[in-house]
Amino acid sequence: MENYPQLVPLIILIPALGAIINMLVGARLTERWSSLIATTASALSFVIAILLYSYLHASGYQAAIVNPPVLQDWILIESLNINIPWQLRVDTLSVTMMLVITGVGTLIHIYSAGYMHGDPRFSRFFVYLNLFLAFMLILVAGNNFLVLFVGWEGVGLCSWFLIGFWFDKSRGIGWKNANAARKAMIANRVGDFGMLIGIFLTFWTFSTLDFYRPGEIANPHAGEHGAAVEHVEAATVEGETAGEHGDEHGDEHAAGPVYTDNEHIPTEQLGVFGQAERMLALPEGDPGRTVALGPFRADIVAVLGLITFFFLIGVTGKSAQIPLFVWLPDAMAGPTPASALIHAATMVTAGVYLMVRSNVFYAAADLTSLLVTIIGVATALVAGFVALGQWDIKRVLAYSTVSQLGFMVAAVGIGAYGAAMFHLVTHAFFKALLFLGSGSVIHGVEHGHHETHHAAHGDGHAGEADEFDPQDMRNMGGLASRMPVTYITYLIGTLALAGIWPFAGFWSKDEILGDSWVAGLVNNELGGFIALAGLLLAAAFTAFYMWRQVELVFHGRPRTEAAAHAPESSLSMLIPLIVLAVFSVIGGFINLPGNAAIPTLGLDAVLGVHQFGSFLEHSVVNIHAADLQPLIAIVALGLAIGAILMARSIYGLNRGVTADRRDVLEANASFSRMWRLANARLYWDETYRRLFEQPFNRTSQFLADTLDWAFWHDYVHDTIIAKGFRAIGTLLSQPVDLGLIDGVVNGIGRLMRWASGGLREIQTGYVRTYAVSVLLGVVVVLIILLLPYIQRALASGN
Amino acid sequence: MTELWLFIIVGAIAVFAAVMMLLSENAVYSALYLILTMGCIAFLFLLLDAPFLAMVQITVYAGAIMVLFVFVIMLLGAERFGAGRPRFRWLTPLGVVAALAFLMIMGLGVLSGGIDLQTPPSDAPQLRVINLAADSGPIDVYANDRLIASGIGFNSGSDFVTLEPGDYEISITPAEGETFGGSFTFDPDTVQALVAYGSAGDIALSVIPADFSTPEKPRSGRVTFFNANPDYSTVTVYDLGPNGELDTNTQGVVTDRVIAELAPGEASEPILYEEGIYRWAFVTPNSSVIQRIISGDTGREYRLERETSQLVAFANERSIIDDQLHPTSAAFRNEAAPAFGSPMRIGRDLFTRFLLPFELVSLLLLVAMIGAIVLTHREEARVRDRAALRRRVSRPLASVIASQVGRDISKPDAETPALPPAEGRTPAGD
Amino acid sequence: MVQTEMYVMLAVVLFVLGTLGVLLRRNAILVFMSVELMLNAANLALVAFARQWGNVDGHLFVFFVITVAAAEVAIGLALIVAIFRSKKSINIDELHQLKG
Repeated sequence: MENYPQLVPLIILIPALGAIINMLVGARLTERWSSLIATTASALSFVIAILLYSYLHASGYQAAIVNPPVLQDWILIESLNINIPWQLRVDTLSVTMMLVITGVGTLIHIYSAGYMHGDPRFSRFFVYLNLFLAFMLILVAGNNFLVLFVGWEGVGLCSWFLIGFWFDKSRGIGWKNANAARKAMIANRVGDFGMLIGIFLTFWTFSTLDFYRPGEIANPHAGEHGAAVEHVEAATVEGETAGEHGDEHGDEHAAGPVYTDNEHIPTEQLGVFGQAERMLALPEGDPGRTVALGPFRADIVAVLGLITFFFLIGVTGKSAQIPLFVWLPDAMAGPTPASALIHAATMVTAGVYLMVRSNVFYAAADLTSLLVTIIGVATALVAGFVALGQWDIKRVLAYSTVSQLGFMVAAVGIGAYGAAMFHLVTHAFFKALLFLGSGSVIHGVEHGHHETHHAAHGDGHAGEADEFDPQDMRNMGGLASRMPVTYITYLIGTLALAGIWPFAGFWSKDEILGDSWVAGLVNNELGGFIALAGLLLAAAFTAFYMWRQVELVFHGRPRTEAAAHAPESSLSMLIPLIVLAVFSVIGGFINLPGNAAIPTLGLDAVLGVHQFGSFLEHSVVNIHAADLQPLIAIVALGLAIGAILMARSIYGLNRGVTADRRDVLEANASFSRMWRLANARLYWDETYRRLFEQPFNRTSQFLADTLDWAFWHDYVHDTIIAKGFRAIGTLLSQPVDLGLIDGVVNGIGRLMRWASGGLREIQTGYVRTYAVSVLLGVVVVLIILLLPYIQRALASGN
Repeated sequence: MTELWLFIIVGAIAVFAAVMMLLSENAVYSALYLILTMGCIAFLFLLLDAPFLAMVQITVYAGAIMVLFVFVIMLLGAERFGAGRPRFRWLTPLGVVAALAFLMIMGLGVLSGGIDLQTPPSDAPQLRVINLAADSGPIDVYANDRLIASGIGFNSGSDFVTLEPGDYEISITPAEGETFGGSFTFDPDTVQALVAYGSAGDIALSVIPADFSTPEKPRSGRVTFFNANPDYSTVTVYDLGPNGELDTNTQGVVTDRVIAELAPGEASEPILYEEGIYRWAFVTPNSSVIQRIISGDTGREYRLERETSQLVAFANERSIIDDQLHPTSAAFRNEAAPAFGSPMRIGRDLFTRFLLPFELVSLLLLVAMIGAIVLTHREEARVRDRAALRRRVSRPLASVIASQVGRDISKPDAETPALPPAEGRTPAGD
Repeated sequence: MVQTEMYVMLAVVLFVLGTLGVLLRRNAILVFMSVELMLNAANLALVAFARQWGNVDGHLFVFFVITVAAAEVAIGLALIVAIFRSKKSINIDELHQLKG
């Protein structure tokens, strides 16, 4: 049991391997094999996640840090003291995310096998799904911000892949899909910029990016108020290879000192959060609290505020908050399973995970937390409002996702980290359910359309661009009788989303509302007030538009022949729906509030009061358990039920769509403008176009045409460089080369001719002159040779 | 003294003749004066012990070359050249000055050069090995561990070997038996023979100077006697009488002339004899052995050739008949050097050491002969072919030729190109 | 014995006279004869040295000199004859076509 954490690299590698297999040979496999490989990979990951959970449960919820082989010293520059290893972390928070990701993911894999049947790039879809799983798991399993960021970028990439999956559709739809993918990528990139700045600041401040170092205890006080203090060992598994047995370490630690907190570790060897906590614990004015950022000195709180602010930018990108949420509705261009997986259950929750992981930072940065709350609430309201006016079934769900993310973000803002995670989990269940259900509905309507209209249909399930849009709710209606299973599960999901007792959404949403009540009215925090008011309203919106959707899609009479002939979906699509529906019902019981009690059905470890919260407590320091606030609960429930009834009254009994295919609220004079505003999505995209895109395009055009071409290329290159070069060339060739060099060379020739002409005269032709010269030469030579004798003779007076 | 006066007179005549040669206007006179000079030089050659060259000078130089000169002068009619205006006026004084400078320098150089004080360098000593040891078989000779002769059998000698002057350890290694040796010093400018004598098992060495210079008297040769026989304490060399028998007086004392008395290993001085027949004998004490010295052809006498240097030795030889040692005489003949400057001497060197230059020079002479003929050959004008030649010339070509020559050649022309008229006009010159 | 020095001096004097003849006379044949005189002077010196050193090599060299002189005279006179035929003159001052 102790070395289950060693399996954590596998949880990433198995989906990666599945992706690779499908990538390399998928085209040659049958659909059955392709989907089987991918689904098996996903299921194996789920199994490993369960094993990790069991490990945690058995080891007292102590975290384990695993170094995968080879990549251990990922970034290691010892001389500069930079050490960012590729480390994975197995603790309650990450395992929670892993379970959700792999569980929901597996179900969606099963669903996709049926949904994508007949698609020419069937196996490619599963490549992307598995790849996404691998990256998302890297994101949640990382032990430092950089590994998280790798996963962050990776899931952004996969979402681009998946959104633009049908990029080759004819008649412009392919372009639209590609544009949507690009929009998602760019919006995410803007957020990533903020995220990176935040990571830089973190590294600059703390000289490390690790969440917790091996040997560190995340929350020394975990479990104290609940069960008896367990004998906590600083059991860390740090081996050179994944296969190394951890027993020796365990035994050694058993024999050595046992620590219950991190006091024995010097500050430099703590992880990011440990250092922050220690610095925050110092009194005001202590020099240990100041952080040196270049020439600036700042208090740790201010620095943390900056860091969290930049992280917030990243969150708004990834988790589709204001101002960067615009990509999520367009992302519905992708296949429905993709939407279900990444844009409902998992990827968009990465931002929330990041913030919950950094709860130490957020808890200390009050200003940023307030900002977080405001953004979350605003997003929830705006998205909820816009969802009222949408006709596309998936777009309603998309805005609903944005709205629910706003709930989670707001919860983080007010410090209710546990509530945020709780809502994340339950939301994953019912939102995935709703998306898959909508996919089923779309599928059915399409089939009905094909049956009734014998028009040629080529590719894709999302319908061709003939006038019939299978996703338009105006083309549906009365599907309850035709697709009963879909209807029942969709209904369950709707009720869960609306927050109806005892479904999952009630408990999680109620916890958020309760926490905001406590924060606002008990602790008098501004954020709490805002959260309470806004979220209540947003909850009402949620219930309203969801019931509107149910009425338009399932109740009443079919408005088109396609709907009249829509068949129920295949079993591979229905089974995940059922499973998710079950979870939507009982999912809330994992974290019941304080004074509610239900039979736990023997699953004591999972279900129960604050069970989830105490589970998370070991990883999230600032988590707190909330008691049930009956007033708020009842108010919220009442609002929800009221909204449902109102929706029923407006949209029920076939009143939803007027004869000219307008919404009934649109037709209504008093609500028409509001409805049209909602339908136009508050003109958000158009505003962005005016504010950002057009100036940007103008600027880039200026830079390209004027600056680059006219100035740089034409003027500088042609005039200055080319002409200058030619002038220098002329200079060198004319005076220098011809004049100087040729002059020298020719001059030498002339010199030679003159000299030889002079020397030529020596050859007179007269023998006597030659003879004389010979004689003279001989005389000279003789003088030289006989010099000593001559001197001797002269000296002796001869 | 006489020589000096002769030199002065002849030299003066030579110089005078040379000066006259220069000054004479008539070329033939100049040639004759030159012949006189050459004759004087030939005489001087005689004074310098070069009789052969003197003859060559007279024969070739004065007799052939100068005659050729005279022929050509006559042929060209150049005996009388008018004195034209000299072309380079400055050349005369310059030339005279240069020549006088030359004379001055050379004179100073010669006078102070101490030519006569130079001595020729010493020659390295030369050595040959003569094996006169009985029963020794072929011997190898080492000088300072350097092999200088190998396989020298009995009664034979090696070639002359040039050694560095100095001390040497000579060791004789017979085919079987021990090695014998000795220490000798070889001085420069000596020619010596190393004689191994004795018998096998007891080889002794002796060095005999050899003299190959020209015998002082003409028609004579040198003889050296050597005793190589260890069996007798001494041996006497007698010049036997005319009947070739030992002449004893009434008391039995040998009355023939004693040439030398030699102990074993002793050599006599080189004795100069005229060429001819001699009757010599080695006589041991008590006349126990009378060993005549004979040369091959007569059997009783010894013929001595002129200008030879001979070594006559008394040794033991093992007879192949009865395998006993018998006394014997051995002789080694070598040519002595011919007289200095004699034709024999020059011819000897010319045909051995200077053979290649000799051949080349003769080739040169041949080439010169042919060259002279070629250079002076002149085509005879053949009149009789002219008509035929003219007929074959085409009209246009004839006109071209006409323009070149200056007259039309297409027509038969009685006027033949004539030799230049032999007028009295002679080429200008001195 | 007369010293070698004297012979060499005599040879030098004869050589100088020959040189003067080469320089001063304009008749080609006279020049030629002066050259022969120079050769003779050299021969004399050679023989004198040969006698002093007792080496016959000097005589041999003289032998070769004489031989080569003979060859040279043959050719030279043939040349002079040929020149005379064409130029009717053997004044060496008139033989100057081979000039620079």
